[in-house]
Amino acid sequence: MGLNVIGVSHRTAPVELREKLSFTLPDLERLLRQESGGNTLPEVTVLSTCNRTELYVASEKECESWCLEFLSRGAGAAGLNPYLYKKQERDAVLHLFNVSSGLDSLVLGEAEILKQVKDAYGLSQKLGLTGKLLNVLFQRALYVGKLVRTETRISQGAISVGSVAVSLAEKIFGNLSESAVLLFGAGKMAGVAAQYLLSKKVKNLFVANRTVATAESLAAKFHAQALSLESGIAHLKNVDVVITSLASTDPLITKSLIQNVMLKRANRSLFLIDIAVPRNVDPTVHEVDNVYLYNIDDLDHIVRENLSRRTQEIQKASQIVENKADEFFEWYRSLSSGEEKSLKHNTVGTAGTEP
Amino acid sequence: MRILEPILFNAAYLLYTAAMLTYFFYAWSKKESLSRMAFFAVVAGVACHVLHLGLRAYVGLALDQLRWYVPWSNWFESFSLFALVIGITFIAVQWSVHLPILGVFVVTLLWIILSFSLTYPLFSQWEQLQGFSQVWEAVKQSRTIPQLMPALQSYWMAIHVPVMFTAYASFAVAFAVGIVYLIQEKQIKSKNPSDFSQSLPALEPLDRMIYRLIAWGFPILTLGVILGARWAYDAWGRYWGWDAKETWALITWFTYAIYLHMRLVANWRGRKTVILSIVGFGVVLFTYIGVNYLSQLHGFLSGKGS
Repeated sequence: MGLNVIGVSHRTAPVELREKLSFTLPDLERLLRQESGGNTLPEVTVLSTCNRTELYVASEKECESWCLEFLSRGAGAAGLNPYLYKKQERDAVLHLFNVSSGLDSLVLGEAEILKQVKDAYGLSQKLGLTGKLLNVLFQRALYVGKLVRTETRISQGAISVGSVAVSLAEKIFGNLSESAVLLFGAGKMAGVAAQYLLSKKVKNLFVANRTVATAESLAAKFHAQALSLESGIAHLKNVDVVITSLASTDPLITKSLIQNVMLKRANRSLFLIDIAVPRNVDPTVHEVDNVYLYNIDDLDHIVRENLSRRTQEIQKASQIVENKADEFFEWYRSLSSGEEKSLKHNTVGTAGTEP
Repeated sequence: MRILEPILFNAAYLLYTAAMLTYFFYAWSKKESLSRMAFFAVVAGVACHVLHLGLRAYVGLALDQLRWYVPWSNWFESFSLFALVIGITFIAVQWSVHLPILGVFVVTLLWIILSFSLTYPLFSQWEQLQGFSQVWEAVKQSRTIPQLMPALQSYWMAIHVPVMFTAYASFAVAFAVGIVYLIQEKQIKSKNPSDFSQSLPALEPLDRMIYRLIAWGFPILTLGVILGARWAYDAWGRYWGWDAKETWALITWFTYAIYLHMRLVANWRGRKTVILSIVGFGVVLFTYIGVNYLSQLHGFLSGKGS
């Protein structure tokens, strides 16, 4: 038996090529059905995301040419060879475990990949393309992915400006479903921020802009209420989170304005996020009790810090992955020799990392 | 029965200790299962503690034939009751708002108070004690069932003290929650919250929780002070005499009245009111412990009282 992985990823191929090789699940299903129409396929699972396309194959025969053919036909392009990586046996196991753990991801430790691995495996299982080896391998990979994320902090801490803002808002207000959000400015940045907050199902969203028409078009997209700048200022007393991204040289929100607003809102906490450059909110506003002001640099700083914290966990995570790959490989060898050993799910297997 | 009584107390003490340590591990590892274990240990500790108190009352009343005995008549018993009511308040808070991380702070406070109940006799006689066996004897001695002084032989003893402790316990929990609030507020104001901030609850719910605890404790404190005045009339023939304990009880009452006033009428919120609630608990502790060394009448616990 032989276990192989062959594919491209953000580490080896430019985005132009990855785009061509990136298949959606229905695409993949169609392609694989076509392939299996005439001839018998090896055990195969295809993992395709925007950052990687990989074929995991368990076959006793040579299968590389089939893989290459599959990829080039799918991409409608030849000459893939310089961008491809090929790994066998233990390296292939290690690779898949690294992928499912988010260690091979562009954004270290991201969680999406685990679901993508699960879907890829689910598809080939549905099509009857997995045998014992791939079944155990992929279930194992999903387990290792979860294990690494619970045993290390590789996927903890928000790592985008939007998600940092949301997690800060949650540290001030708790559940955001009772909170109202006000955007000043209807540009692209405001839209991105709104997206993040709406994913938390906030109670109300207001969009205030100099040109109300622009505010209305963004507001329509998010089922929000459009306001003029003046009525936006007047709404400060009712909302909890304020995001400013106006192009303006004078600060829109001053300390005295906020002090006034705080009196009117009975000192309920107010979270201001200033993503405009130059800034829309006077920095001294942060000194007012129960007011929390973060500007784009503050958020960026937290993002970088969280990323470096994740980076510090790489070693610990890799250790778990190595150990689990060894464990699996031992089972795999015992399988080929005909005396199957048991493979347990419950041990962490990282000497020295657990008390 | 006599043998079982101290065993139950020890069991409660061990369970609280286990709960506190488990909460520390939970804060460190963030494993939900640990917080459930810790909470279970608190509940089990409170159960043992209640049984202990019941049994102690039985031993005092039925076996020792002490007519007015209630199991909160000396330092040890009184601290023990304080800790128990804090435990019950904590369980009630956890049931209404599930925030296990509070356990780290509240159960630690409970544990300190209970440990103090065990070790206080050592403070006054430390110099005379030599060797572990004597220390242990002193601890055991302080745990024997005491004879009540005449002023305390009243059914008011069974009512006034638990009412006061119910109020004190809610202030104690409000104090612990207040510490959490101040840490979290500082974290977010610093613009660079650490990992620890992630595991602490959000500010607004904490602020609301402190308010609710004080709004619950304040009327009970008021009731306790009124009952105390009524008892003072029975015992000393006057309702109010500006004894140190009475004066400080009034100061406590005013501190929390100011908290509620500032919050409800002057619209103070957040850090300022939280600091008030923390000061309030300092006053509570002084009224409860410090005053015993000032008061002629209320010095029951320091042996000065008449």
